[in-house]
Amino acid sequence: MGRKIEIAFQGSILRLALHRVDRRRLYGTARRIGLDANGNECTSAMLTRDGRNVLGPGSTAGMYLDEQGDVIAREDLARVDEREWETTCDKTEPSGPHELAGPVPAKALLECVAGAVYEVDVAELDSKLAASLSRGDIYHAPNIGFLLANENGVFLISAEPARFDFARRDRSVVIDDDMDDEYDDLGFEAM
Amino acid sequence: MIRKVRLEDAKRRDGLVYLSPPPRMSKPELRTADGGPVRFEKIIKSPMDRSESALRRQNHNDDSLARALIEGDPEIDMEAAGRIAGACDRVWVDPEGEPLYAASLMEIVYGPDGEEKERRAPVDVEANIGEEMPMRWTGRFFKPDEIIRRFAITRKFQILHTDGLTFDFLHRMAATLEKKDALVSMGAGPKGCNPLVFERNGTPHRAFLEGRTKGDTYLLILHLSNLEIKRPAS
Repeated sequence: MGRKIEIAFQGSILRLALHRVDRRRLYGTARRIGLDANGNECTSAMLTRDGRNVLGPGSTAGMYLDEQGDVIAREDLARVDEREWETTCDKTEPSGPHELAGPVPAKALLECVAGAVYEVDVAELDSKLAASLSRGDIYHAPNIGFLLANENGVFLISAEPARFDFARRDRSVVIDDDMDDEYDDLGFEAM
Repeated sequence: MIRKVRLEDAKRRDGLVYLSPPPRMSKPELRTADGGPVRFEKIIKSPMDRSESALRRQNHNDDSLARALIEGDPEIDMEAAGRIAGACDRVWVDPEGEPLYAASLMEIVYGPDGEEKERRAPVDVEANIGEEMPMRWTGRFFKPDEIIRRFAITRKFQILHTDGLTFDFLHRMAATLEKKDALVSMGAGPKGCNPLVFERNGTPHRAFLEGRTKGDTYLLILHLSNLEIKRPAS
């Protein structure tokens, strides 16, 4: 199931249909199942530590609680460093017309982490843009991603910047085992 | 999370270094509207023994199920509903909803078209990167343009020194790459030709190392990809 986005390029608005490219569609996937003694397929569930409750899909809901334990609705939550977050991250959900800037250097994309890759239907591209992409140019639509072409077609890479600082000799590394970050799941997916 | 790995240079000399994720990739902290702290919790709605399928097993037809729902609210567990689930253990549950003490595992392999291709006994793929298993310099160089057109860079790590000796080691490596104006492909295994697997049964990643220097400082970034930029076959 694709989605459409609108981008502005040299005064004209282009509506592009995007189809997500993922590992499952490129390489297939593998799934592990459990079988009981009779060979019946089992489902995966969570058992609470007190052993009282078995929780399957849909058995729980994720909620934010305040100090008193009261539920806080998502729309009532505020980000602590909202301004910084907004300026440093691209949104992964493309929506609305956005100006396509470029060409940009390859290093602009190399400095980002890709969140999603979408195939773009070449027939929907402006002829000037298609010609520029086929020459190897790369374009950037803020809050949407990077548009590029290779021998397989035209693709939109939704990405957000990852900024690193240069390392000095006297820098110290703090190893915090409780540090919460999304890289904990690196490569955990079974395949 | 920062982790230690062994890294090999072009002359096959190795050192223990840190792999550190980008500092700004962590999610923003959330607070209440008046600035109070909040925490995210999983709240129990209804345990599996109160699910529709469990209730259907207990009531043999729709009429008796409807009657039970009206008379006794069996779908609601008053003891559990609204409680914080807390830490949980993953278990297998048989078709009757009972947790198993032991389960045999099977792996189902699906093709890119979504069709089942094979059922087999699971084979564990061990990690090939760690403190004793070096990430190797393959000597194959790529321009940034070539990499970003072929691979989606889905993960990045900064490589950092663990002591003064590895600082010099990494600074030299970064200077070499900067001079080449290219990224070097990094690999794992005895010959360094395998993609990196960071954890047991983890997704294999292709890795490219980028280096820059600025005076006495250096920047080494490991770009990881588990996805080629191409159209699915179908």
